[in-house]
Amino acid sequence: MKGMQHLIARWLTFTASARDRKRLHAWRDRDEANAAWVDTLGAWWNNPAPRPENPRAEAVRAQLSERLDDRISTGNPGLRRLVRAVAAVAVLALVSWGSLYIAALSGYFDTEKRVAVSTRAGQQSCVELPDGSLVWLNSESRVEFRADKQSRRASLVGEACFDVKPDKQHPFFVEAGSARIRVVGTKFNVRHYAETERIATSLLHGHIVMRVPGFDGEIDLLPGEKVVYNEQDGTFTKSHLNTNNDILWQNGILIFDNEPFELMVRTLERYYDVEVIYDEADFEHIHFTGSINNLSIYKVLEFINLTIPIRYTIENKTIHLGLSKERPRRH
Amino acid sequence: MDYSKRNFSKDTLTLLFDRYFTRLTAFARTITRSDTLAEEAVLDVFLKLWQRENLQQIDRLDTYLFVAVRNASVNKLRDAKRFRFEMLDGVDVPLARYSAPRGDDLLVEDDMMKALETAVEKLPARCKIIFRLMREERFGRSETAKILGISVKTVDNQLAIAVKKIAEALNIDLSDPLKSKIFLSFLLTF
Repeated sequence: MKGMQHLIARWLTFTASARDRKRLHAWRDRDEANAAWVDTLGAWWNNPAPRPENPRAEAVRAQLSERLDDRISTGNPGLRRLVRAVAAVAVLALVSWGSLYIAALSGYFDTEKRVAVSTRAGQQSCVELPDGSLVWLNSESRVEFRADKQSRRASLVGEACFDVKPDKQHPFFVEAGSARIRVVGTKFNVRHYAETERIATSLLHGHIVMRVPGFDGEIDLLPGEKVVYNEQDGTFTKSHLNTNNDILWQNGILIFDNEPFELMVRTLERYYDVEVIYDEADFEHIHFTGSINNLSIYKVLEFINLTIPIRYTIENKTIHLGLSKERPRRH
Repeated sequence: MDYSKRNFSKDTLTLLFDRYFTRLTAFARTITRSDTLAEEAVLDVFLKLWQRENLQQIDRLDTYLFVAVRNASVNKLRDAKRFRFEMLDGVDVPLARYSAPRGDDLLVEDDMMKALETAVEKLPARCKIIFRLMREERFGRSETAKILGISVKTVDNQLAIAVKKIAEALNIDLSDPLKSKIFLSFLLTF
C-alpha cells in the first residue's frame, strides 16, 4: 500500500481512484490540522498566483531582433539579391514572351494559388498570411487564403483569432459560412463550427463590419462587442461583453457560458482529441457554465462531476460517460 | 541557409517571444540558476525557431517551447562548465523545519499558503521543477514528463516526494489511519 503522499499527489492530479479518495478522507478527518492543511494545499495548488511580467522582456527582445537581422544578412546578401534579380528578370522575360503558362506552373506569379492550413483535434496553430496578418487557429479548424500579398482575403471553418495588419487602403475580408467580415486593421475572433450553425464574431480592438444574408445593412462592431449570427433562421444578436474571454482558448483556457451539454462535449473532444460516448437523452436539457484552465481531461471530468453527477471510464481516446445512478436527493 | 521558404515573419516570432518570455525565463532559471544563462537559453530557442520553415508542424506550441528551453538551458550550463545535470539527478537540499503551530493555533489560510510557498522553495531541485511545472504552468503529468525527458512514473513519484516534504515542513503527519488500524488488528489477533 502506497503512502499518503502518493494519494495526495494523485488527488492533486485528479488521478485518484475512489479507494484512494476514501483513504485520503479518513486521514483528513482524523485531525483538524490534517484537514486544514490538505484543504489549503488543494486550493493553493489550483490557484497559482499570476507571475509578474519579467521586466527584461524588452531588452532581450531587442537582442533577439538584432541577432535575427544578423542571420538574415549573413550568407552573402549581395550575391543572393543579384541571383534573385536575375531570376525575376528571366521569369519576366518568359512572361513577356507569352509563356504565361510556365509562370503559372512555377507558382511564382500565380495569385490564384490557394493555400490552406488546417488543424486536427488537439492541435492549435499560428499562421502568417502573405500580407503579414496573423491567424491563431484553434483545433479542427481550417483557414484558406490566396498566396498573394494584395489579396487580403481569407475563409474560415472552425475557430480562429485574426490579428490583421492595418492598411486603410486595402481592407481585409474574412468569410465564415455565409457571413462576410470586412476589416481595416484589428484583432478579432471568429467561431464557426459546423455543429452550431452559428457564427460568433468578437472584436477585441479596431473596427470591423459584418454582412450576413437576410440583412441588407452592415453590422458595425466596436471593441468589446460580439455578434452571433444564426445561419438557420437568419437572425443575429449583438452583445457587449468581455470579448477577451473569447480568445482565452489560445492560452489553454476553455470558457462555457450556459453551454448545452452536447456542444460542450464537442469542444472537449476537439480540444483533447478524444471521443466521448454518452446517451444524448440523458443529458438533453443540461447546460454547463464554468471555465477550464489548462486541465487534463481527467480533471475536467472531475470538474463536471461537481455540478452534474457523472460516472465515466476512459479507454485510450474513448470516454464513456453516463449520469451517475446515485444522484443527490433533492431537498 | 535558405530562409525564403519560411512562412512566418520576424513579427510572428516577436509576438511569440512576448507571449512566452516571462514563463520561459522563469522555467530556464530553475535549471540554470542564473538570470543571464536563462535569458541566453530562451534567446537560443527563439533563434532556433527562426530556422524552422513553419510553425504548423508543432503540435502544442507551449510544450514544444518548454522542451526546447529545457535543452537549451542544459546546454548553457554545460557550456558554462559548471554542468552536471544535478537539477534532474537530484541533490537533496536539507529541509529546514518549519514549526507550524498546531491544534487551536491553526494557521489562518493565508499564512498557510505562505508556508506552502516557503516549503516549495526548499524542495530538492528536481522535485521543485516538477512541482512548479505542474502547479504554476498547469502542465499535466505526461506533458511534464515530456518537457523534462523523464517517465510519467518519475513525475508521479517526485510529486509524491514533494507532497511529503511539504507536509513535513508544516509538521503534518502523513501516516495512514487505515494502515495502522490493520496493523493494530493484526497485532491484536495474535
